[in-house]
Amino acid sequence: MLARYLPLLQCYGNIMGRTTIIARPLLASNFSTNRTTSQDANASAQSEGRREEQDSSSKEDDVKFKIFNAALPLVHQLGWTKECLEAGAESIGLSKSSHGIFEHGGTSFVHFFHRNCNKELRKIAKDEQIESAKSDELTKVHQLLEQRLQMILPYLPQWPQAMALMARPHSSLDSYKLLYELADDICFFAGDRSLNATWYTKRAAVAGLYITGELSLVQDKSANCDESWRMLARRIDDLRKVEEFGGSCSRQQEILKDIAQSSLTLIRNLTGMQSYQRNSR
Amino acid sequence: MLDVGRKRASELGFSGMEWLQGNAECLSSIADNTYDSYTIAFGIRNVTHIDKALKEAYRVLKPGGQFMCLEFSQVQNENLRWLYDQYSFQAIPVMGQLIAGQWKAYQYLVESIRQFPNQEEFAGMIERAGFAFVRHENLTFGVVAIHCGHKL
Repeated sequence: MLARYLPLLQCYGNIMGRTTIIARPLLASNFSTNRTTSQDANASAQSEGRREEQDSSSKEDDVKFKIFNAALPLVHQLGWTKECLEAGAESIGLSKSSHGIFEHGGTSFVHFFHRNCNKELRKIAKDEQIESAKSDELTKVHQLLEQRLQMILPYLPQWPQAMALMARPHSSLDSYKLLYELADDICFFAGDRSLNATWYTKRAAVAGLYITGELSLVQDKSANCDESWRMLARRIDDLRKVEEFGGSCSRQQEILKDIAQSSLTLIRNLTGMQSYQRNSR
Repeated sequence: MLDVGRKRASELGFSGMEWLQGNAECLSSIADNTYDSYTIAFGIRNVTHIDKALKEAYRVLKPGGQFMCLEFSQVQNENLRWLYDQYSFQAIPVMGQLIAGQWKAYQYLVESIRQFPNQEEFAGMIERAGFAFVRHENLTFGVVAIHCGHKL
C-alpha cells in the first residue's frame, strides 16, 4: 500500500531539493512512461490488497446490496429517492423502514451505485486481464472509461438527478473520493506505474475525462450516444498528441527553465527590484 | 401520560393511533415481527433491564425494521463535560425546587443520566440484542444521542 504513496514523497523531495520546480515537465510525459522498477510487483500486490478488502462482503453488506439491487429497476419510476429504496425493500419482503440503511436516502443510493460500478469495473479489468494486454496505456484507459460510462446508460433519464445529489456540498467529499478511486483504478489497470508528478496529472486527466463523458452523455441526443463516444475518442487522441509533442523531456525542461528565469527577471525589472542587484554589483 | 398523549394527538389532528400500556421489558400483547419501526425517547434510561427492552424491541420489529432511541448520553469534550456536570448538579436541582417544588426528582434525573452507559457502550448493547447497521449521532456535543439499528 505504501508504494502507492511514493510519488507523493518523491514530489516533496523535489520541492525541497530543487529550485527550478516550474521546469517539471507535467504534461509532457503523460501516459508515455514505460518505466518498470523493482517496486512494480510490490505496488500491484499491495494496491490490489487494499481495494480487495473493500470488495469482500459481510452479511450486512449482502442485505444492503439486495435492497439496492431490488430498488434499481424502480429508479425509472421513482427516481434516486428514499421512496425508491422503500419500494425496493418491500419487493424483497423487508420492512419499508429498511431505507434507513442508506443513511442519507437518495444521496446514499447514488453513492452506493457509484461504488458498485467501480467494483464492477475492477472485476472486468481483472477478468479481461486488461493490464497484461498488448495495447498501449491510453487505449486501455479509453476502454475502461467507456466500460464505466456505459454502466450509467440504463439510468440516463434520471442521471441528472443523481449528478445533482452528488454535487451537493455535504456529499462533495464523498464525490471527490469516489472520483479519485475511479481515476486511480483506471490508471492502475491501464498499467500506470509512474513514481513522479505524472502520477497526479494522469489521474487528474482521467477524472476530467470521466466528468466530461458523463456530462456529454446526459445531454446527448444522438442514436446510441454515438456523439459522446466520438467525443471521448477525440479527447484520448488529444492526449496522445500532447504525449508526442512533449516527447523529449529534458529538452522541454531546459526550455521551461529558461522561460521561468526570464519571466522572473521581467517581474524583477517591472517591480524595480532588479535595480538593487545592479547597484550591488 | 397516555391521556396527555391522546390529547396531543387529537390537537395535532392525528387519528387511527392505538394507545397501549405495557412493560417495555415484556411486550406480551404484541406479536413477533409486527412493526416497521420502534422509537423510544428519553425512556430507555428508566428501564431496569435495558438488554431485555432491547430484545423485546428486536422481537416485535419486522425484518428490515428500524430501532431508534433518543437518550441522554456522555459529553465527549472534557472541558464541556465539566461545565455540563456543574450545571447538572448545581443548577438543575435548584431550578427543579424553585419551579416544580421537587429537588429530589431532578437530582435523580441528573444521577440517572450519569448511570446510563455512554454512546459506544450503548451501541454495543444494541448490537448484542441482534441489531445490525448500528450507528449513533450526537446532539449538542453529546448531551443527547440518537442511536439507530436495523433488524435483518
